[in-house]
Amino acid sequence: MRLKHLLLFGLSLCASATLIAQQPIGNENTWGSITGNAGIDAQYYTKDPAIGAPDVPDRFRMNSFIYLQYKKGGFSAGVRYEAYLPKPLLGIDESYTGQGITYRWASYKYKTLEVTAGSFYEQFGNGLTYRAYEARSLGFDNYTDGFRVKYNVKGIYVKGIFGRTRDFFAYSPGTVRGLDGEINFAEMIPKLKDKNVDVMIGGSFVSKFQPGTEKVVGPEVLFLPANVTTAAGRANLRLGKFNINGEFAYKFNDPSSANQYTYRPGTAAIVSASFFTQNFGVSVGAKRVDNFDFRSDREVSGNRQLLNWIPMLNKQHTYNLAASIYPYAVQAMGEQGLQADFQFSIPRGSKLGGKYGMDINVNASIVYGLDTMSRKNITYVEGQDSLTLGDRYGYTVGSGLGKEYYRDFNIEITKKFNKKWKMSVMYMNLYANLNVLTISQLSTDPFVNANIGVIDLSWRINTKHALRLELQGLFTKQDQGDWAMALLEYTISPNWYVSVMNQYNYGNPDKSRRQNYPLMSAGYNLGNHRFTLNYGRQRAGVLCIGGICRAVPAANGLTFSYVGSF
Amino acid sequence: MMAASMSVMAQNKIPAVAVKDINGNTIQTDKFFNDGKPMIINFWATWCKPCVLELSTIADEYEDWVKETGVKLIAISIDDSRNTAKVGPMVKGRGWEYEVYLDANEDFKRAMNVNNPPHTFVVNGKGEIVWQHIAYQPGDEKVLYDVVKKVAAGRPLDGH
Repeated sequence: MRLKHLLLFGLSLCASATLIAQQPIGNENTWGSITGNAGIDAQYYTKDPAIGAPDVPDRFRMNSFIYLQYKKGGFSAGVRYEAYLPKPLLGIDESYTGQGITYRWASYKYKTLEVTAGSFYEQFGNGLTYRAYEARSLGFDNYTDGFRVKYNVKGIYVKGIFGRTRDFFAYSPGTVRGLDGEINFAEMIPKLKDKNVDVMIGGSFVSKFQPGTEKVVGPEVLFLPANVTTAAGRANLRLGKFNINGEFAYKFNDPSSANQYTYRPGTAAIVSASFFTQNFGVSVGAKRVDNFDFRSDREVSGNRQLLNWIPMLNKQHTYNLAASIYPYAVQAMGEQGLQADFQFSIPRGSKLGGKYGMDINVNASIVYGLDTMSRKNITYVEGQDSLTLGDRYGYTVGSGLGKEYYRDFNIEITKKFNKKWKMSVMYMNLYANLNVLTISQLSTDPFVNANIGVIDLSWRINTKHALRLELQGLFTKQDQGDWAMALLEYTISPNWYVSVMNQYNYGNPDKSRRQNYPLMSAGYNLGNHRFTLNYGRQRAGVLCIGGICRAVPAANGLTFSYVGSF
Repeated sequence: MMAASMSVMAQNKIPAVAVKDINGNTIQTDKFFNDGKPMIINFWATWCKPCVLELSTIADEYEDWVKETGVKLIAISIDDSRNTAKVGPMVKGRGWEYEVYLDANEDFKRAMNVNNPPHTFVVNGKGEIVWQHIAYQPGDEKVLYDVVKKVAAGRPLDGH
């Protein structure tokens, strides 16, 4: 009953917003403009113990939101209403259950000064010390609610923030304050731009306040400090076609549940260099992270109340088997890695390139843990002697390599044969340490070596009709064994698509787990609105079907989705 | 209600949001300019296959589109800082001639009410958003170009 009223409310809001938005141009100055977007994901779950799907006794779950923005001159405001009823979709934290207004803000911009009150998303540098962002289809949203000021003058950019972090429909106990400055010399000194040189330096201070407290951990009574400060410095240098970028961050003592209440400082560093010219581009990157979990509440875990963001240093895969079975997850407590990526095109007209040329991407990445052999085990065990102060304050980390966590080598080639036929092939070799990544169900042998192959073939039948076939295989002797996948997608521009897909775990050592994961999907586009219906079993990851990409959590059953902008 | 919103588009201008170009310089999005000629604003990401397919398909015809209508395609990458270093190499490596900007924390995407990439807008010579479309399916580039031609000639956009 309540659900029906909510949907009607949502639709009527949408209707009134579109009516207001239809004011002719002349009225924009007197009325201001209203725009927005909305989305609904509703799922009906069927029982499926064979694939280990959790039982959903209430059967029906829904995530939905509507966002409205108002703008008139230098003034703008926004409000978002979210409803997760009767509970959010499976895979999204159940603490989201409920509904209410979440992200709401008002902002005024005068020349180069911008002031925001309420909720905002913001990033300092690469995000190592502060990043408030959203990935709501994955259940992630850590906006800051408070106050923000942005100002710039001739290449100097300054930002100040203050507030609490979102925690479902509430806010964190801790508050964050931050200041970020960046100087872009090419914007200041035109001579540099003429010489094709760009130089940027920047720095930030981010400090978190949460009332200090005493905590009993084993035989010790620890005093947890109220203020935790991070400092970061960054620089970017571009000389013609060559670019180098780096950021280093330092975190003062931050005893929290994530690092088992140690007082050791944390560090994070990333460096990347790239070079690109016509038909060729290369980028390399290196990263090292040590004790860099940073939150608004020292007691929470998982995805809650994170203040910063550590970029992953491996390719973001989208082909289903490559992206969703052994994905890599950043280990904020300690990891170091390297990545290299090459992109080149064999020119059109050449023998190998053919009429349209050929695109090739080669990518490799490797991640290790830190060398913590000299680190003492600081977990208190009943009956053991108490730990010395030195362990809690100063365990050391060696400069060598720890255990291998992840390794990935992949090559992807795309070739258009003629106006009707196009093909992509991908080969990938990966190594995943499941003790660290904890993503699999079977871990009799946690060190997985796998090879993945993908063929993606598309046929333009005529101007409006196209057919695409995707065949994938994942081959491994460990964990769940081999997988095979096939996808057939038929699209009719610009409105329709229909697809069928099946993933089959034919190589699972446990015969009862050799399951098929069939999924049928259909969608209809109406300008800026899109309706989709999915039926079957879905794995977590990034799914690209029917012309759109979506980050989706694991799901099973009948799903109806709507997204629209107005 | 849906049909009504389809036929009479809100004539809104591009909001002012800070994005960065591939060289790290900050640009305000309300300053996007094409000398009175139409612009296409396309939201994409390096990991979004239909986005890369759309931009590759248009790349084959882009020279003709520019010659005939003077249109400019502005490609806004919503890749986060994990992937921003790869945007330049991918764009240049594939030989795309578009103007590319980085919207690493999705501020412009939010201001334009974009949900998922790809999402394409057509802006007329006065800087007003006159058409938008979600998703990409082979053949959609023909519809997009029809809209661009009409906007360049100053003709109305009924039925799109």
